[in-house]
Amino acid sequence: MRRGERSPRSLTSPRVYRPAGMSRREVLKLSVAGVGLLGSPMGIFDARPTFAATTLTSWAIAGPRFEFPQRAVAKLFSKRFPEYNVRMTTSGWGEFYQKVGVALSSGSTQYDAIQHDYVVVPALAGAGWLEPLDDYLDRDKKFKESVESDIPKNVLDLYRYKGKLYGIPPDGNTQMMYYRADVFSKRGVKPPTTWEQALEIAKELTGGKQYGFVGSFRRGFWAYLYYVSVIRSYGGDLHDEKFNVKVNSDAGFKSLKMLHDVQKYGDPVGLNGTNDEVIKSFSSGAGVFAPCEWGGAGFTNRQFNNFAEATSSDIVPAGTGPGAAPVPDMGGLGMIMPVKSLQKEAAWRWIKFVNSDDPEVLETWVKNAGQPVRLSALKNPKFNKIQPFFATLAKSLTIAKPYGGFPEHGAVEELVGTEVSLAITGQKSIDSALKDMENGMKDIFTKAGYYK
Amino acid sequence: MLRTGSRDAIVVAFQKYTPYFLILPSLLILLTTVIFPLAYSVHKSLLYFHLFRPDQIRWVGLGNYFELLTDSAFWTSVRLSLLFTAVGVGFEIVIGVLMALLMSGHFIGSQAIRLALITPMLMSPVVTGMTWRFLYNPDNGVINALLGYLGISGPQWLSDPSTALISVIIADVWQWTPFVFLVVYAGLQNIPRDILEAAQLDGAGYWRSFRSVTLPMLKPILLVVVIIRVIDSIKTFDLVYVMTWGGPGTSTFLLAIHNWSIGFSGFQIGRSAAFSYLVLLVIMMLTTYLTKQMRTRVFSSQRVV
Repeated sequence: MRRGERSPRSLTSPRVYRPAGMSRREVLKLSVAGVGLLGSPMGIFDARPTFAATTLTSWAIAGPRFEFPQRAVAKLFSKRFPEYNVRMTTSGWGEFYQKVGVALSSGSTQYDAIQHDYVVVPALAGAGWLEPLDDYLDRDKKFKESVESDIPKNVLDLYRYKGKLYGIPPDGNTQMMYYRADVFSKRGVKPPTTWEQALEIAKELTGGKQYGFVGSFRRGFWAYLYYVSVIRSYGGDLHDEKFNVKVNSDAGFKSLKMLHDVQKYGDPVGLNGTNDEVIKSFSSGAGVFAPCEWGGAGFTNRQFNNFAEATSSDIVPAGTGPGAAPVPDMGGLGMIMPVKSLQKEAAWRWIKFVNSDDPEVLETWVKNAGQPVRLSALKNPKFNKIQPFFATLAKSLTIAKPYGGFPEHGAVEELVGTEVSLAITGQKSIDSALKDMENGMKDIFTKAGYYK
Repeated sequence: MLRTGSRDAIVVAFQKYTPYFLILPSLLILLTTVIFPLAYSVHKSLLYFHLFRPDQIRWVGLGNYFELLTDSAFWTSVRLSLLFTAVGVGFEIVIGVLMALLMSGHFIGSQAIRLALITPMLMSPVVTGMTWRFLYNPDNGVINALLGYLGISGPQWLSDPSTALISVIIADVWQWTPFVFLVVYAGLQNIPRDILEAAQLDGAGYWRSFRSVTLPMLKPILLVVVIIRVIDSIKTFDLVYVMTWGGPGTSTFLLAIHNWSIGFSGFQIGRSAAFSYLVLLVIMMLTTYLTKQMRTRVFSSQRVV
């Protein structure tokens, strides 16, 4: 057989086909090089001391605020504790809750630590899918004292279920008011303390291509979150602790009417908008006042907002009437440990490290787009220079209220978020929307067995 | 040493049962990936089943189905999905056929243009949705900026309940018309030239040739394209999820996003499973109706030809 020719029995023959012009030695060299190239991404020739390091998997929401600071702190963790290696897994915000729910319900052992919303902790803990952290915390008195004194109690308690602690938050957030200080100053307008004042400001500042209000009213989750803050600011709520529905009330009506009225002066982009659209509205100069938006780097970072230096923040407005007070929604994600984790000690080391008061850890967190929840960090002047809204966040955390916190909150979110969107866009009357919210919530709670 | 009778029995048994063993691997795969999940989901659709409330799982029979069928929100989604499908697929067929007719000739650059025309189909629906969401932005999107140069004040597109659905339809038509074009173009290439030439010799103009010769011969292909697009359209999820999440209000709350909100936002697995089977019923009814209608016309037109 000549070089380059295929043996007629090549299908069954053990003879290897050689491309024309290549010797056996060349083919062998090429094969070894190929395996080497393929092998390195596969970790076959991984230089890390895997025989010594314990690898644990930490799961976070992709992007800034959650993934970026964790990745940066993970590097620090591996440097300080070479016996541990943190493998980061991320999922997009839109699918994170669903993927975690499915992974935990199916008993996955893949994940050792997850940075998740306090809202789902009661549901996950109630289903027996989370490891309580009290015993781990009790082992280190100094760390426990640091956590309990520096993280606001109302925030830490969000991760408790039936008296046990299931998570520790390195991240904090609430809704805040953002406004263009230069525009306000030019018109001689002061930031409002009530929603009625906010409506007047919206009217005053709307004209030409400028909108005196912009809100995130996308159907579902976003509209729900906005409404919850406003109804509470008017002294009301969706339901009480015993799940008696209270939404169809004076406070419920006033708050929904306020949103409907203020949106008349609002950037229309908000009707299908999330936080992103509100930031874009600010960045284009169209929107100049957002009374109730989630805290984040977007508004006060030059990278995201062309008017970042002129944008200031304050706590959300209050409603009017009995029990009225500014009540932003509580946000923030904490580190939880799945009960099926196979590396519980390693996971605890990691969770403790992420939540430590170590200045280097905190600085790494903040410099990588993280939002700390420790008051010492939020009030640190050095960190305030990086994220100017931290001072407002520190104030807001003490008055913020959690939302959800029961397994069926997703269904309530969808129901309320849809009805609020229908009312604000004028597709349904306010009375009709409130009635449907009330009936829908009663139906959800009845089926869930809350009414005995 | 086996007796002849025993040996024959073994051979007969081997011949009888070997085919079953040969298809066993495929059957096992079918069982685990199709039949078991189907049976499992049918079972779940008969339960009250919230993913985070394993303590509350209970038998409700057809309760989930009755609740959905008596829920006005379900029928709103059905109506919106049918409207989305009718308008979207209608435009896709008309524009796709026109494109195919225009491109059926040979001219310089026709191959490159054909390739460019099918590019939207190659994009993922999520990327398409994100792109159109940016294009539609009323403050700094390209579409309203271009309309502004023409002195036209652009609508709010995705933020206005009256324009949100048509905005999503436009994005869907942009993405899937190339599929119709591709299939119809292939069909046009298979029409015998001599029939068209004979029609022209008999004095038929372009429009008469198209109506009496080309279109009847394209009907079997159009039937297949319409059925495929109708099924896909009813199931549209990605575009709506990215562009509007079913809003503003419920103006784009199509069946798939509605089902997603029940199952993956509300985690009401039982209700979501029941919803899926109702959607399957809608699709089956539509495709059966379409198949019957088109077959009648296809067979009758074939008899005339």
